[in-house]
Amino acid sequence: MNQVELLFYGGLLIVIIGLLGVISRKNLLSILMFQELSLNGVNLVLVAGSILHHNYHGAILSFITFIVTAAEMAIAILILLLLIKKRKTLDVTFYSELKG
Amino acid sequence: MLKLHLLFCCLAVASAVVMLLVRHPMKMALALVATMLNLAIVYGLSGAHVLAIGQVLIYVGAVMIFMIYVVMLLDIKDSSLVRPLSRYLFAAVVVLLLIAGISYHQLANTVTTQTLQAITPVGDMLSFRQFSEHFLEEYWLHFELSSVLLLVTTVAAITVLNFKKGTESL
Repeated sequence: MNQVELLFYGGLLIVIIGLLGVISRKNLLSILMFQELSLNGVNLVLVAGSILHHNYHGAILSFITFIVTAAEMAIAILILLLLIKKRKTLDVTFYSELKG
Repeated sequence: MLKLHLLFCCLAVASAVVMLLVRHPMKMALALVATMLNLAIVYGLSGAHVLAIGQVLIYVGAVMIFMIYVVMLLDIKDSSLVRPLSRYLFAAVVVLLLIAGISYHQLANTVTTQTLQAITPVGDMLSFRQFSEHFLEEYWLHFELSSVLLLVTTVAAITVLNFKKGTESL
């Protein structure tokens, strides 16, 4: 197996595990962590693509993803803290008002 | 070198599987940190040193520290921790197996033997100097926009923290 293949398939596996966690868990913080895991898998695939095509675009996009993730997490964690403060739980089944 | 790649890729995937198996968020966070560190090593081995540093500094150093702070505020008797799995587990497994199959098929078509043979050695293509030069020459607008994004995030965080009681709708 080539290095690029290894990175592609490793990234794919990590993305799938992350998505499985996002759908199967009930705790909001766990869902956020699995989402991070998925993003890590996506970054790995981007780097593999960058090596495959021998250019910088994938690696730079991956770096920009780091910045966007940091910004996203700052807001998401504040919202989680507000939810803990108001409802005393992070169980997603208690937050179903927008379901219709 | 490929053996090291394989070792750390396997360790990253194994830590991700551990995340699925454990129930407590603190153990999950530690498994996620292990995955991120293993991925940082994989980036380093691939020659993408900037990404390896970014992975350790931004993901492990900033994002996961935030996460661990929140875990400390959690109630261990929370219903989502006592029964962590949702009722969509079976559907999720079926759909994701399907997605994995399709993605594998697409990847196998994209990463053919011919494309792999055409790969030139990475060398210092993703090294700190080369990466920085290309990033700041071709992607300077993205760089500036990301600084604006971080500023907006700071303002949003302050707004959320100053959430007035009269406007609460949670």
